[in-house]
Amino acid sequence: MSITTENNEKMITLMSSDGEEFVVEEAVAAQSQTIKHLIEDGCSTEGSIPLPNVTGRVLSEVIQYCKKHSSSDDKEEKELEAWDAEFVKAADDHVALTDLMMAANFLDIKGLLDLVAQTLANMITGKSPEEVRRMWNIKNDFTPEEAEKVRKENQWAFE
Amino acid sequence: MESSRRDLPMDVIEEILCRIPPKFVVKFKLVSKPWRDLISSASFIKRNLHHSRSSNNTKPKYLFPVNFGSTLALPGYHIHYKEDNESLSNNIISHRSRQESRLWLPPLTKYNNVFLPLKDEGYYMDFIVGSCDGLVLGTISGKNMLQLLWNPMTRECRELPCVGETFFPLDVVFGFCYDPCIEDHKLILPIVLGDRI
Repeated sequence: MSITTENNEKMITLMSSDGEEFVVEEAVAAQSQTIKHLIEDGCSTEGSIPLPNVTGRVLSEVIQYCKKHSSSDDKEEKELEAWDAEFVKAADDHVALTDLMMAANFLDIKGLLDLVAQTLANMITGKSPEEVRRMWNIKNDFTPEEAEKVRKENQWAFE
Repeated sequence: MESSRRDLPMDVIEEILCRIPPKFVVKFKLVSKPWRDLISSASFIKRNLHHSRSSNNTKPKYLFPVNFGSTLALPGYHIHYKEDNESLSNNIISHRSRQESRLWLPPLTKYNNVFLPLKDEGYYMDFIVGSCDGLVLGTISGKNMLQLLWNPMTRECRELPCVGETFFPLDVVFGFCYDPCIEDHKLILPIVLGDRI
């Protein structure tokens, strides 16, 4: 019960699935609702918080985002938007973005989830169903007849 | 193992797909059966519409587009179908008043594949009551009390139950809006009895 939420200087340790440790300010980590609840439940008193679903590479990116967004309350919104744009640009391809998306979803960081989801949405808009299947290794479980039925029912979208 | 090589959970897929404009997202029903079921679900359509509403982007991206041609969305206009034009490219709409402020519709294909409900499909909307979230409410020719709900983008039409026929031939003024309490669209029917509403 040594946690005092008023104390922003308090540091906590996050451990990735591959054993990498990150020491961050509690205020930074608490942008993740998942971590915030773990802290509130006293899970951080035993040393570090294990995050079994997030690799070190992805976690370092997530922390980078949380740091920027916890320290920029008084900054211009425009600047933050520009920073966000650069941040997703650096993630580059859909594989890295998907990893980031999964982490944001698991850690429950709304801002990051919105940002990455929108980026991926823009990326696949206009792509064909085949291209999307290839991107995420999705199995086509339609018979040709079933596929034809879907196509017919939604003809307006396929013209 | 990186997460992208595992199966994408449906809640993550939903987060992405609800941000995609309708015309594009509907195509993704062909990706797989779970994707088809997700995109067809009422809760997904609601989320998609919500994102379209809150987006600053002014391009048509509604599951039920509102800005497919502002003239058509003007309540109080009649649509005249030009019989001799099979492509329906020269529909005229005019105001209900005798002033004949006629407006010619440009070829409908310009509205990104938006078509009027066609006569030969059994529907023939000729008076526009109003529009909301891209849904257009109109009446069917010759049956003033019969309402037709039309989604121009998906070209789906639905007849609404006949209302208020007993009040005929009094003037009936319809309105059309979204009611967040019942999470559905609502037909407003104030009935004019003489000079009282």
